[in-house]
Amino acid sequence: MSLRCSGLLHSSVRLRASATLLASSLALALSCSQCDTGFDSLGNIDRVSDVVVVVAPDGVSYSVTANPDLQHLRIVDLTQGKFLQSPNRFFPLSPPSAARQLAVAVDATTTAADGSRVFGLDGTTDRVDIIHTSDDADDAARFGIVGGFDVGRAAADIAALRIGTTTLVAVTVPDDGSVEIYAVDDAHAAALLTTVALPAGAHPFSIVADPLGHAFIVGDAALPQVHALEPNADGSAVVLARSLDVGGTVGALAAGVVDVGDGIAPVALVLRSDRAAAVLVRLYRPTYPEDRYAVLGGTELPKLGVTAYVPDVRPTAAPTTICCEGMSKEQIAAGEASADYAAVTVADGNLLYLQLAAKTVDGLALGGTRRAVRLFDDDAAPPGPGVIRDSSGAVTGTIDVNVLPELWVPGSGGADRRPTVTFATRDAFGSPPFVRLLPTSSSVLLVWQGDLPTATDLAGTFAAGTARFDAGVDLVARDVRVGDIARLQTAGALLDCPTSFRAQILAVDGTAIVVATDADGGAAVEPALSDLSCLVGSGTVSLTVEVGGAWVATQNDVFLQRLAFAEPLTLPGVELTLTAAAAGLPVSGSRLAVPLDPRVRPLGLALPLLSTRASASAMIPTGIAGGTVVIRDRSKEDLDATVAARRLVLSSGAVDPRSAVPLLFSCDEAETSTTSVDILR
Amino acid sequence: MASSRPLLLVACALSAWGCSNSGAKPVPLDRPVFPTGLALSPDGNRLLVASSNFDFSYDSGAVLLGDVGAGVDKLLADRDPAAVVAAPWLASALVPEFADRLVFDAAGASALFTTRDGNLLHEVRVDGDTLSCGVGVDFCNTSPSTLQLAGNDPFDVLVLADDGVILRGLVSHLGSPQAEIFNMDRRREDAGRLTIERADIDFTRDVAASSGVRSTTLRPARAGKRAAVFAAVERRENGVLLGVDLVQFGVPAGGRGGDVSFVRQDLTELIGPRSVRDMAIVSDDVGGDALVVLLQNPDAIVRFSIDDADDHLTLTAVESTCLQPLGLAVAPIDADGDAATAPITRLLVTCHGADEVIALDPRTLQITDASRFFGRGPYDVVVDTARNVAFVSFFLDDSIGVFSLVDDGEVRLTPVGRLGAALPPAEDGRE
Repeated sequence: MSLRCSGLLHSSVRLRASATLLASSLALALSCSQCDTGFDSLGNIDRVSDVVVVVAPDGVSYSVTANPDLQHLRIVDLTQGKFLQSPNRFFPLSPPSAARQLAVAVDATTTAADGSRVFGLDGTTDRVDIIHTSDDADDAARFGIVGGFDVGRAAADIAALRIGTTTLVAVTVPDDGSVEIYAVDDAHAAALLTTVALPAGAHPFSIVADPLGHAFIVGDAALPQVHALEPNADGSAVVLARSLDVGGTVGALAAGVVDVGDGIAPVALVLRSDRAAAVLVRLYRPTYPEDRYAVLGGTELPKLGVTAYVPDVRPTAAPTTICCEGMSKEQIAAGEASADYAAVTVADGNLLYLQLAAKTVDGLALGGTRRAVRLFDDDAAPPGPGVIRDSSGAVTGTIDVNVLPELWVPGSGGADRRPTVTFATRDAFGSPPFVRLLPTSSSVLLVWQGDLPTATDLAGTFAAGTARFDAGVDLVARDVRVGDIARLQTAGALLDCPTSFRAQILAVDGTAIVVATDADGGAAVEPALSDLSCLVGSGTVSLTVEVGGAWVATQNDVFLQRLAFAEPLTLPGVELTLTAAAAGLPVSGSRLAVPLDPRVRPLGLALPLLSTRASASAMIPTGIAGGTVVIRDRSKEDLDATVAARRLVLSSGAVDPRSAVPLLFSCDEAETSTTSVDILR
Repeated sequence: MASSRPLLLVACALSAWGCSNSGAKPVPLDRPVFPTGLALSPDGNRLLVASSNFDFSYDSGAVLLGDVGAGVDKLLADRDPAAVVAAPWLASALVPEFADRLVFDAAGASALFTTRDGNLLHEVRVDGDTLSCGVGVDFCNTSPSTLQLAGNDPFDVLVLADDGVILRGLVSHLGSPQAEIFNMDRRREDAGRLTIERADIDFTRDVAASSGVRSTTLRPARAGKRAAVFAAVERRENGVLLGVDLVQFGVPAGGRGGDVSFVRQDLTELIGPRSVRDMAIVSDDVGGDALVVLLQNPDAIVRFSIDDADDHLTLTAVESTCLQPLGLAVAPIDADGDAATAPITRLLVTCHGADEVIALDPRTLQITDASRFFGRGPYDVVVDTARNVAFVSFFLDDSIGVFSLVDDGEVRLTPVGRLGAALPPAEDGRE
């Protein structure tokens, strides 16, 4: 009774639990507080670097966390919702392992992973620990360290795959550009099976095992690729089967099984590290006559993706999760809800859900078998002009960008030359589709004949006495064109010259431009440089280019492109076109701001709100794991009643002790309410 | 602002007189006291250590000049963590309290640093085995090698340009949103040796809430682009941290500090509210340059790639670190001794609260090595790339740790001894 009571005291009470259960729980807690000192241990976790979920052979579901600063693991009994304790209830069970990355072996013969062991990699000591999850026939203590082996220098990540009676453990070794594969038998003896060299320049980082057991997928931090390493049928050899271009360098990976539009498939979700984006890769399906690996699509994310989870939708004891909790009825009716989803934590600590096989993007049907990866969106409207929102965030109106006076700042005498802006929605996602995302609260700023941001303040030199200026960087690549205006500032030995010139660009040749001079014929190419004689010497000259006959478009200080009238500016999900006023072209320097709204209401979990600090605190997501686990059935009053459920466990890496930011969270898959998140301390 | 300088000078002079002339308790010169900043001479043989006198136990702080030539070579050969180079200190200079970041000039003849006590910028001159603030100067608080700054709590010093005669630099302040540009004219031996340019860099010009600069770093000039400064500018209201901006600007021409244009990126919007501790530029042969930023509360390290065309920063990695990361250094390590092969680069980070020094892969920010409990309160770290060795100041142990970055041809972080004194037994009895 005592143990059960203490467990109840430290299990989180979900707010959506029935009133009956809540009342009975409180009653039991009260009675427990009268009979128990209440000094049960907390988890004492710190800077959790990774987390995995296992269902041990004894049928109990656990979450194992790596705490490298403490150099010990901590284990949560997910069924009871509390940390395991040992040697008594005053201390959390603490297997001595300094592992930073954890892995559980995929078992190709079942939908469940091999829950008998956890592999922990410590890349600082180049060691893998083997942790036994239950106290079975070989007398190993539950969560005891039963073995280990040395690996290559500064290994970064680990994955495991069980084939027959052998478990292949793969570690990435970035410095060597290789992946080491170890064969581990059931007696925990390990031997290096092979070292797979990756293409030149590779910097292997993250690694996951294909849920169907056909491959390890490796994310590359230097090349824009993922690499597929395939073991043979008996696991006696592993080879590099394919390197697939995913468009950019890779951070984290997650593997799962979802319906990609033409049936279920093993997939890897790739979080790009060169930008805030995710890419979905379909893995090998033996019965499908198709390329073994293919990029299905991708999406921009609001922030850099840090960790990811993809469910396995193959039938288990728990019903498949439909994403997402909290979606509006209108969007559910519109077919927005889906079981084929992924969870991604981003750099500010929030969690977002992605559709992995969406048939539409902002109402545009992709058609055929095309499917898009994108955010779950609870706003049906497409991107467009900025909107007016009330205090709750609901849209109450749209800004008329062609009327609002403060958006137009004309040059002197050009007030009647305000251009007209039109919006259009286009399927410009490409194939495979990549869904870009308009930033929230963004605005496109258009400056007529403004400075070209890619050619601003470029230091360079004139060849003595000539009109040829060499900037030392590729000006063609920076979109400098004939007809633009060069604005040149001088210093140093050119002090005899005026401090600045404006001259028309007559030619662009690699890193150099030729500017107009009086000798070129005067007025036809004005403005022209009047005096070449002062451009003798080695003084410093800097070049800034003003575009000729076009707008310079920037968005949130980032240069988009130069834009002529009638030329479309393609933005994420929307196309914008400008038409000149009847009164004529704008005056140079005229500015038009076009406020935009992405009309995206992403569904996710605002985990930083769980901080106990007064303001929402930043968190550093480090791990996310999930799957079918056994938990206590909170719908029943019987405290021993259990139920299979699909759950997520998320870890955060750093904590400010003063703020008591929690480090470990547990919730249902596709949960969106922070009040339904259990905090495990 | 200018009118306050005479008062500050008087206050400083009085303060310094009290420190230097009381004779109550001179600061030890045979060991650093609460060491903070480190600087390694370009030839790798001389180490400057700021002795901060953090708790005011003594009359002043000091800067110590250490010989890290033969003694460190022996540490590297013996590889005994308990080994000590007992008396490496060749010379010293008395300075006000709270010296911190030290920076050598290109020739290794001078080093510059600030002291928060008195809000001063200092030059110390290194000539072989000697260290001085000028001829006949006993206490470094008067010209020609000391300069009164206008802003409060000066911290980082950047060398912007150095032609061998005139050194131009930037001082930023923890407690002031104006960074000051100074010139050091080596030909002068009077008050004109160190001078402040008339126009400062005012970070409140575009964001009024800018309150101070936690860290700065310089991106050297490259083809078509002048050198640029990255500054971590805090925004505070009534002392409460609202956020941090990463601000970059091109190094301005002389006297044109007021003309710089800022490119500002809200770090808080990207990763949430936290405080910057240090920054560094990492040059990557594949991905171009990157800016690495060390953060506290919560503790983290983040990496931004720098777009070479428009200097835009893109967040490319976020990782947690050990407790209270404080010092950051970039270490290109030639482990195999073959100049033809590319070095392996590591980031070295000191974690003050965890008594830990860690090495990280600069691309992924994954920890590749960790050394814990080699000294208490690790503070600053500097790297000798020629000998693959790192020096770490241990704030609470009054010693300098020496780490080898190569072990048996592999990139490692291995403590091989310390400078100054053996580590005292841990107070908690830990072995």
